[in-house]
Amino acid sequence: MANPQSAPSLAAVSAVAALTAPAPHGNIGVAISEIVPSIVSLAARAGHQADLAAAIAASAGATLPPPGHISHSADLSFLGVAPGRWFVIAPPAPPALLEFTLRQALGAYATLTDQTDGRAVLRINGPAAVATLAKLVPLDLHPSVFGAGRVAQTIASHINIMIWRNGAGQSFDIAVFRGFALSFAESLIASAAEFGVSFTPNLEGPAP
Amino acid sequence: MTQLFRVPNGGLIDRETAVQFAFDGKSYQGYAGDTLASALLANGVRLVGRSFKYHRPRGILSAGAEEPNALCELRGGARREPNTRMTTAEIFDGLCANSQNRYPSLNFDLLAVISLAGPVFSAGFYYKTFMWPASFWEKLYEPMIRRAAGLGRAAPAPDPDTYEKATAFCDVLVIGAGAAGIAAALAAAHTGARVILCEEDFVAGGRLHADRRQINGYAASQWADTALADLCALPNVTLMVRTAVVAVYDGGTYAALQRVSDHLITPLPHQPRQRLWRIVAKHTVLAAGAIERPLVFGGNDKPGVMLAGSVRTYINRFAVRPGTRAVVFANNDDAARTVADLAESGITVVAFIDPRPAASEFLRASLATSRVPLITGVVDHASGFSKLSAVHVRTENGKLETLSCDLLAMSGGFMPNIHLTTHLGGKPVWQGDVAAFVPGTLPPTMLVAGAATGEGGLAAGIAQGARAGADAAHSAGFVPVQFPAAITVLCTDDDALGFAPLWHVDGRGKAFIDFQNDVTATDVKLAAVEGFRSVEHLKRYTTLGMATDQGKTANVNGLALMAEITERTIAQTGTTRFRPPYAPVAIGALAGHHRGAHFRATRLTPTHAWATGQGAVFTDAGQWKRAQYFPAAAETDWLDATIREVRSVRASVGICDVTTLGKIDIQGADAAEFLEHVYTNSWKNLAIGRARYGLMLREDGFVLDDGTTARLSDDRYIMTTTTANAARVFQHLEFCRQVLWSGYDVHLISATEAWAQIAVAGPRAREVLRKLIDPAYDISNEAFPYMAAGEVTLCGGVMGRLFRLSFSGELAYEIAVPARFGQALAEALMAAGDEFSITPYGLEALAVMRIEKGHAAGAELNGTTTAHDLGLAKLLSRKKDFVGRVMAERPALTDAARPGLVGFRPLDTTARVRGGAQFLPPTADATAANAQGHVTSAAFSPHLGQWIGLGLLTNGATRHGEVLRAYDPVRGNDTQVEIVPPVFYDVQGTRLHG
Repeated sequence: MANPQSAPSLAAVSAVAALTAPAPHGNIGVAISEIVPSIVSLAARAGHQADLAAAIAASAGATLPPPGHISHSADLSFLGVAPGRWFVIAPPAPPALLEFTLRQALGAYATLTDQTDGRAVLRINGPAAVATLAKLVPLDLHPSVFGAGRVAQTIASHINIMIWRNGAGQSFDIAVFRGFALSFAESLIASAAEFGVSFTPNLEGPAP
Repeated sequence: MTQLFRVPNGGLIDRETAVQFAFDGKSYQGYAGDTLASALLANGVRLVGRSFKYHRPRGILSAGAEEPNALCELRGGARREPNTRMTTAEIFDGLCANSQNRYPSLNFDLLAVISLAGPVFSAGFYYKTFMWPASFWEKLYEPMIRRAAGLGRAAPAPDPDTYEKATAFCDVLVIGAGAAGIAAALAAAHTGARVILCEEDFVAGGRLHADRRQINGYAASQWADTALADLCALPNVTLMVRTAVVAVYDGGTYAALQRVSDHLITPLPHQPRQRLWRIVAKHTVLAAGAIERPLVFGGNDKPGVMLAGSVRTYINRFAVRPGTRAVVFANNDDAARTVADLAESGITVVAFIDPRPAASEFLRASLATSRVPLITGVVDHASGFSKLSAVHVRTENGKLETLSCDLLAMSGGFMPNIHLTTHLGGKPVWQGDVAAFVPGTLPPTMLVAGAATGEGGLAAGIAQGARAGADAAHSAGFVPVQFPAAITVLCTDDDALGFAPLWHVDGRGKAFIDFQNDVTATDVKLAAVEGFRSVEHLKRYTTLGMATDQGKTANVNGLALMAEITERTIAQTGTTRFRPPYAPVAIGALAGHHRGAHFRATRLTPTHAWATGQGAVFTDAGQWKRAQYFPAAAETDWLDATIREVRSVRASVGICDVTTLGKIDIQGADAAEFLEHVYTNSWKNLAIGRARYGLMLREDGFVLDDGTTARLSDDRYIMTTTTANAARVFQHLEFCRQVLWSGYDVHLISATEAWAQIAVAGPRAREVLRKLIDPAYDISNEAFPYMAAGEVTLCGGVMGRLFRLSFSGELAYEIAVPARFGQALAEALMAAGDEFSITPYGLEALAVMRIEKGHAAGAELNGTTTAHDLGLAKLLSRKKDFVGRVMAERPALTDAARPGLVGFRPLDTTARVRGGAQFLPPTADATAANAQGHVTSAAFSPHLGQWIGLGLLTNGATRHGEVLRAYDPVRGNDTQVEIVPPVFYDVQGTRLHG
């Protein structure tokens, strides 16, 4: 239906494209990189919680976690953000593909909204990740409290964020509303600078 | 001549690392590990400042955070920091400090004459003297008083350093790393609890380094080093030195100030100067120790008069002789240790002056060893010009005896450091046997150990600390374990606990209670005579305890004297309340990173970089940065740019980023039902692929917000809100969904940031879009009429949403694409519209066009207007219920006399009217009582070639054609205006349908 000759395609631009990374000094205690996963919000339709759980189990082989927790299937992560509400995180994909796919699989049991472009996601990795985040996030990130499989919605530097531990190590992903991404990334880099920081934006953005 | 007063051996100083510093322009040498105070004493500097009110020469009184005298301006230029305590400031190479409150110099201070005028400058002097004429106050008296009486000067330029804030969590927080604190931390840590141990000093150990004590056969200092090394080896322990816990809040939350770089000439790269921690602790052990009290006698502020325990700190920790010939004056046995340490370091001790009639065995034995005579009596007064030269002792038989000396070590007993126990309202309790206030009701999760409890004794303190640490860990959920060896078998040298109160010696000269604020015993007596008997009144009248040290050394002496004068007990007199912070906190530390451009977070639209490239001038819309106008090369005025932008849109086509409008994705089987109840008008009959204007009320019947909502499918709607109300509307809808109608199948989520949305407005809008929208989509007027909405693809398959909406009154669309494509969409639209001279337009042009069309916006949707006021009563459905319906029908809200929306135009077509001008009848006086409404929005209309506007006017709808005054006293305008209908442009609305 589309005619590629009729109009130029549109180029994707990263939400943090305007950020200049600081000159690295010494060791890199914190590596910050922009990642571009697909994100879709998922909620159970009224009266269909059990149907939705069954459909997720059947199609993705995952159990829907309670708020604050994450479950995984082969390619998808389900982040519990509120009672009966989740964010589904998947590898980068064209806009709306994840929403479309989930809609086909979950049909009448789920309410789905693509959030991929609404958020920018930064990955914070390295031995000083926790020390850096202590300056921004008012949560206890100790592994005994916020270990593998934990997610939280909170604030950092007066900006609403969603944070989850990426695996079991010193790696965290933080999603912010796209409009705040630059402001947040500046706070993050300023907080990480004393430990040595590198910053890698995803300049091309996700695949169109 | 360097460091003549340095003892050859010992001390926690690094003699290998010499440090050069300057005080009042003169260079000195000290060692790493010195404070500014210890380094000055090592160089024989005794006079270090002038007092607040009387400009009296002052020396170093203490060796810690309680210091009231030895304050200086540390560093220079933009880093100048006034009122810094020399007793806590670590020296570093290149440190530069200056004394304060002296003119012209420290040694020759002209205002010291005030001291001679003594009795005149008593409590309340300024209130009583500088009363008339009142006009002199601000301009003459106050600046002069401020100059004469004062502290240091603030820095002349913005602070070049950065500050930050951080949060830490632990099971057990231990405040103070002295003997009790170390024991508490060890006991807690061995259970596996996460422990944070905070120490205000730059060296942990407290008095273990200041006193020559023995623990389990080791020197106390060595015991401290070993115990601290054990602690630091544990992975669950964080020792934070240079960190003062300054405040206690609810839920086990503490504020602590870490002086990250105060000991460096400039912070290391990317390091903050200070860091303000919020520490969240399950349980806390306060082991903050005790502060020694001065004795109150004439001349007790002479340089050379020091606290007895601080004298030991200088000798033992800093290897400094604070004098050459000493007298000790104390009402307790602890000061006997000072005698021993003085003697051992080669300082002649002339006598021990003791007011107590019978000396204890401990004291006798101690004095005998050092061969120091005991004199039963008191120091009547001290003398000396700029420093102490003699003390005059009144013996028990009334004889006055003069002892020459340059150091007087005094001790009036100890005040447990209970500041933090009172921050949540706990009242201190007076305990007579130790003559001190001890902690009363504690904050819920706090325990107190060591000298802070008021109980003395080294072994007892360690045992108490260990028990408190174990109890705290147990309460935090950890299983008790055997104490580690260091705090198990405790055997120390003898404790010296004898004490008898001595609150005041009635002798010659000024006897200071509050050294920093220059409050004397006489001032307290005067306050009592004048009727200020309550301690809170005493404090405010005399300023006792109101200086930057919060009266740490002064409070108890002051209120004990007040109790004596008013013939009450100290328990009856009570104490004033301690308030956070425990120690001064720089404002910069409270602000953290949020200064300048980072004062608050900014929110950028997807086209921000593009708009910047177009030369946009931005304005704040909440946290958003929005393009206000796009000045062309020759334009110098915002109005020129705005007029051009409006004309371009009306004549051809323009684009404007409208991403900031709130977008709420509403889905569910009951979505239509939901909308039906949150909007005032009808929604169930909205067809798929169409949008509608909706009005929303608050529960109280006033207008909450307006906007358009489009139906994308059977059970999916996209609502738009105003930029300003986006969050409030979302919150309101969630409340409705979760609380009012929890049975509905409906979900809401913000999609504001997910879509870049651009308005394309003007007669050529369709032609521009036609080039971008993929050919499969028919966007002709017939196929896609006014208020149509739907999903499209553009630019070869990019998904998008197209809405035919118009705020400008022209043929217009809003086109949305996933936010990542926003910038490219703006560029593509500009390229496609090039042949029509497409023009980017900003908020100013947007506002002009909506005023020309009479659309209500923020200034009219101001929370006090009703649907009737705005001429939207027809949108209030009578066929259904909706939020606010009943309250909106209240007579006062439907009263025709309420101010209603009108348009106006000045009779003088060159006159400008501004928002806020009041509508007055033409002949009425310009008084508030005669005002009949006001101008809400005004703009220059390029269409009409004059200023026009909207306003709210009593009975507005019926007054079209009337002439009124638009009176604006703030900006000096008074203009005759004609009231007209609020729509100025294309009244029939034909252009939108074009």
